[in-house]
Amino acid sequence: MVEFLIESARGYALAGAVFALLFAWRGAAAIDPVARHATWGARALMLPGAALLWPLLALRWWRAGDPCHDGRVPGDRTERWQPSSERLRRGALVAWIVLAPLIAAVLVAALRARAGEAPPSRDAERLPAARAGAR
Amino acid sequence: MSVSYQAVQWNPAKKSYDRRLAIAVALYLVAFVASASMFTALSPLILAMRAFGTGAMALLVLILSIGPLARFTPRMAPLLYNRRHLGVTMFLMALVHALLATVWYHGFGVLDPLASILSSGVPFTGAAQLPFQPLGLAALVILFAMAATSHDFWLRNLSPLVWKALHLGVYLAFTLLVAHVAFGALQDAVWPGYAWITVAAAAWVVGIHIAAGVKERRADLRVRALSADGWIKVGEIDEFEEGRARAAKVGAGRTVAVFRHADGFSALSGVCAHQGGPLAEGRIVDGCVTCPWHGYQYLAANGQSPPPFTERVPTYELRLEGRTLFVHPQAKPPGTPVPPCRTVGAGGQP
Repeated sequence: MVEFLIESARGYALAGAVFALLFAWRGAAAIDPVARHATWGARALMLPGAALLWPLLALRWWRAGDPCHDGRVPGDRTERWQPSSERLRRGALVAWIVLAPLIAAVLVAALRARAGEAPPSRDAERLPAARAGAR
Repeated sequence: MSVSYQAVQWNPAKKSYDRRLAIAVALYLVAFVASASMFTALSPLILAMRAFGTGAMALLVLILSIGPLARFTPRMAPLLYNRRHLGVTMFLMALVHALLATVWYHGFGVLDPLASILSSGVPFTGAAQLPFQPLGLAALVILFAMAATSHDFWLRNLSPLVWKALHLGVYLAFTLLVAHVAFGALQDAVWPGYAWITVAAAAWVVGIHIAAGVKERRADLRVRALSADGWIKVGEIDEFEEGRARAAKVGAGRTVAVFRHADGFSALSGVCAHQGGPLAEGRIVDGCVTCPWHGYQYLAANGQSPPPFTERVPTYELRLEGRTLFVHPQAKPPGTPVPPCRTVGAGGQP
C-alpha cells in the first residue's frame, strides 16, 4: 500500500513537472491574458503550482481553446467575492473551535507519554548507526 | 497590481522588510547552533536540522498571529503586507529541516526513504510511538501547496475564494505540526521548558484566532438598522475624517467602505479585489482609495483601479439627509461609476 502511494505520487509529480514547463511557456498566457507579458521570473514561480495543479490547469487550457470561451478568469468575478469572504471568515472561526480540543488532546497525550517511560527506540540519533549495523 | 505578472513586486519597503527577515533568520540559525553546541555533543547536521525545524515553527506561530492581531491593533498592518514572503521563507526552512531529517534518519537504510518515513512508528504500541514523521510530511505537503500557489497568478486564476480556502489549510498544517513536535522532539527533549513553550505557542495561536473570530462575528451581527425605504444609515458626516472611511454593514454580512474625499463621499465594497483586504481601513492616497494590506488602489468614483491596472470592486449609491449619510444596500456591478455624494459646500465641506 505504501509503495503504491509513493509510486502514484511520483508518477503524478513527474507528469506535473513536464506539464508545468509547457504551461509556463504557453499555457499560462492561453488561460489568462494578463500572463501574456509575464516575466521569466514570474513564469519560473508558476512551475511548482502548475506541477501541483496540472489536471485542473490542463482542463482550463483545453477549454480556453473553445471559441465560446469568454476569456474571463475566476478572479475577474469579484461580485462573488464579498459574501463568500464572509462565509470563509465564519468557517475559519468554526475550524478553530473544532481544532482547539484536538490540539489540546494531542498535547495532553504527548505530555503524558513524555512523563512515562521513554522507550529506547525513540533515541533517533542512533537510528542510522543501528541501520548501518543491521546491514 | 496586475498589468502583467512579475516574480516579485519589489518596492523599497518590501526590500527592507525582506532584508530584515533574512538577517533575523540567519541570526536565529547561528544562535541556535552556537548555543546548542555548548550543551550537547550532537553532530552539526542534527543541530542544523533542529535549528531549521524550530525556526520554521516559530515563524509559523508568528505568521498565524499577524492576521488575528491586526483585527485588534493597526500596528500589525506593516507585517501583513509581506506575510506572503514570511510564509514562503517558513516553507523553505521547513523543507530544509525535512531534507536533513530524511537524509540523516532515512537515507542510509535498505528502504526507500519515503517508505521509511511513512512506515516509521510501526509497530504502534502507544502514544509515545505515534508516527510523528508522517504527520510532519503531511504538514509539509500542505505548506508546499500554499507556497506553490502564493503568487498573484494563482490568486487570480483560482479566484480569491478558492485561493483563500486553500490557504486556510495552514490551520490543519499547524495542528499536524503541533502533533509532529509533541510526539517527536518533545518526547526526547531534556529541557522541560521546551514542552511549556510548545503548549504556550499552541494555546496562543488557538486563543488569538478564536478571540479575533468572535470579535469579527459580533461585528458582522451588528447590522445597522434599515431605514423604511431600505437605505442604511452610515453615520453623521461630521464623524468622517478627510481621506478616511467608515465601514457600514449592508446585510448578508457584506461591508461597504464609505470614504470622505475632496469631491464628497463615495461608497465602495469593503473588500479589496486582491486578497479581500479591509478597504474601510485604508485611506485615500494620490486620489485613490488604497487597501491597507497590499496597496491596491481604486478610484473612489467608480471602484476601478487606475489604468493600466484592471481590478474593480462593486460601488454603492449614497444619500444625504440633513447631516446623516445613508447607503443603498444593492451593490452595483464592479467598476460602475457613481457620482460622489456632495454636501452643501464644495468638496464635501458642509
